[in-house]
Amino acid sequence: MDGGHHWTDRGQGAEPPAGEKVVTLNTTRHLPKEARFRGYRLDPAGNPTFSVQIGDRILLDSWRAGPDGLIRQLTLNGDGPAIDLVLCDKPTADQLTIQIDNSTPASSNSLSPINLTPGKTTTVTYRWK
Amino acid sequence: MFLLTGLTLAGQEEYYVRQQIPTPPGEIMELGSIALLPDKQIAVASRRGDVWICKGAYDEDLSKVTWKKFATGIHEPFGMFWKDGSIFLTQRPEVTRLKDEDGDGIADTYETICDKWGINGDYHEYAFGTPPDKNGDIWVVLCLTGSGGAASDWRGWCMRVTPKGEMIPTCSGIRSPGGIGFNAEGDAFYTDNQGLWNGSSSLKWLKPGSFQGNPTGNKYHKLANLPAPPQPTDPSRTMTERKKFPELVPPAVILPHGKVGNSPSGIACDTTGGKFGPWAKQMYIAEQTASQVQRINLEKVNGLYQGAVFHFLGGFEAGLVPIRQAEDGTLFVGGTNRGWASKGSKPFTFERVRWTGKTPFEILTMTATSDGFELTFTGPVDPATAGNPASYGMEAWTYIYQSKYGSPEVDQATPKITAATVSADKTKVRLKVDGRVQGLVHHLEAKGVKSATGNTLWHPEGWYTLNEIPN
Repeated sequence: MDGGHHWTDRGQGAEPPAGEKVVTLNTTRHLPKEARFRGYRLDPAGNPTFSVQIGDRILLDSWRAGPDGLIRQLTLNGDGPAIDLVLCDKPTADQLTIQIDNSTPASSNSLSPINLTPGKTTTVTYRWK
Repeated sequence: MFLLTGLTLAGQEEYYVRQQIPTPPGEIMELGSIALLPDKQIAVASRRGDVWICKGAYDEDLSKVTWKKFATGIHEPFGMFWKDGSIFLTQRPEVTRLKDEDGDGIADTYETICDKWGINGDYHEYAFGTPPDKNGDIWVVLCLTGSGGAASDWRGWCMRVTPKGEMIPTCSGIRSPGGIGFNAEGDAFYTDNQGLWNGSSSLKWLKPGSFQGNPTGNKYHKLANLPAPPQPTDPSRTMTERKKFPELVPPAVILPHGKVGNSPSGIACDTTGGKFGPWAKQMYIAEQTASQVQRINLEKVNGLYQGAVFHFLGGFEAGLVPIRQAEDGTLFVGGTNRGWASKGSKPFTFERVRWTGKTPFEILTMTATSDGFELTFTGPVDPATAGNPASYGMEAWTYIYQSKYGSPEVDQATPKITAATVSADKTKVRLKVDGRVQGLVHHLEAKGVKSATGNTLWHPEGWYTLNEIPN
């Protein structure tokens, strides 16, 4: 939400998500139903790592600005099976590309879930067009 | 660098010294929260979502206060406290714990304690939270969407958030809170503002399981398989609906609109044992529109809270929202007038009030008796004037309980004070009153009463909400 709109007068109205070129990647929940948001930690540069509890495991979701896009790193801690995460469930390639690890960017973004294996970090790069 | 100005409201400076605390230069410090930290540090949170820590706010020379920004990016926090080495706060979407784990004086971890209620982009989905109660639970009241709808889960409800982050639906019927806190006994209260189903603003008791009067958010009982809250008849009277719905708890103290104030906000209970005057265990209510602090004495009659409100402190620089009292008696208040105009004309303020040690001649308490009211004064009265019924006046009224915004004063009555009996120690007067009406606000004027030394009352009127009449 663009909370900045609440900085003027009463801030009346239904405020949209913050930012420019906002892209809706998911039309449905992209984490398991039992996932519980636990907050975030800021590094010295102010970049956030969000924590999501899924059962007795923690998914760490870090974001920072890259040279030509937004870099996201996903790490699932704890034991247990892998978790599927749907990064995108609708066509968005006309707005941005999604690159997973060092894969070759495709002409369309995959609508298939990525598989998060415990202990392994997956890097996702979002590049706006 | 800083401009210090004094008060003033006529006569107030004789009893209470109000001082502005300089805020960080260039910052927009529209305060929504104040927390007391160890070592006489004060944390404040702004409506823009910054948390700052102030040193020197207790010192004599306020020009030397220092500030450090502790956290940023919070969404309009209204309610903040210190516990276990951390700042906890209630912001729009959640209860959050702020930790400084690397010890550099700046929060680096924002731990979500509970985010189980809904939120959307609406401007008015405020959340107000308390410090922990005796169980460690934080009480949160969730404002309606736009103050008239309930578009997100649990809007219009009061929740308790346990230390483990569980959320317990506790009361329904909330409209537009301005603050929340506890009385000396640990029961939770909040202020709700005039509007739909609120004929006037009031102080309300958050009795667990109760319905507070506004049915807009009733539908969310289904989320937790709770019984459906009442659906009152529209229009009606609170007294009438109470008889149909026992879970409808009437306002403990109505704050008559336009007479006491227009927008009540933060709540503080005086537990300092006399360090701020003789008001032990009384409650102070901040007022946004009038830029004042009101004073309330409560009592419990037939299982319900009720009591009187009196004007108290005024002249603040902006509309007050948060209020916190320190152990040494210092009352800290913060203010903002953005979006809602206030008598204090500055866009924001951070102030403290200290007692000079001189007690004003005031009505200390007004309580209901079987045949009238008993007044306790802050000092001995002049028996001739205090014992004369003609020194007093009384009128009574209530408000329409309706879905329309606000209400005119209705059902007027004129109770007659037929006797005034002064106690042997001259600090109490028992008023015999004919024609009281249960459920009405009873407005007392005591302009003819003088103290033993010939002073008139600093504030010669009070408003008592007579929910129940003692046997």
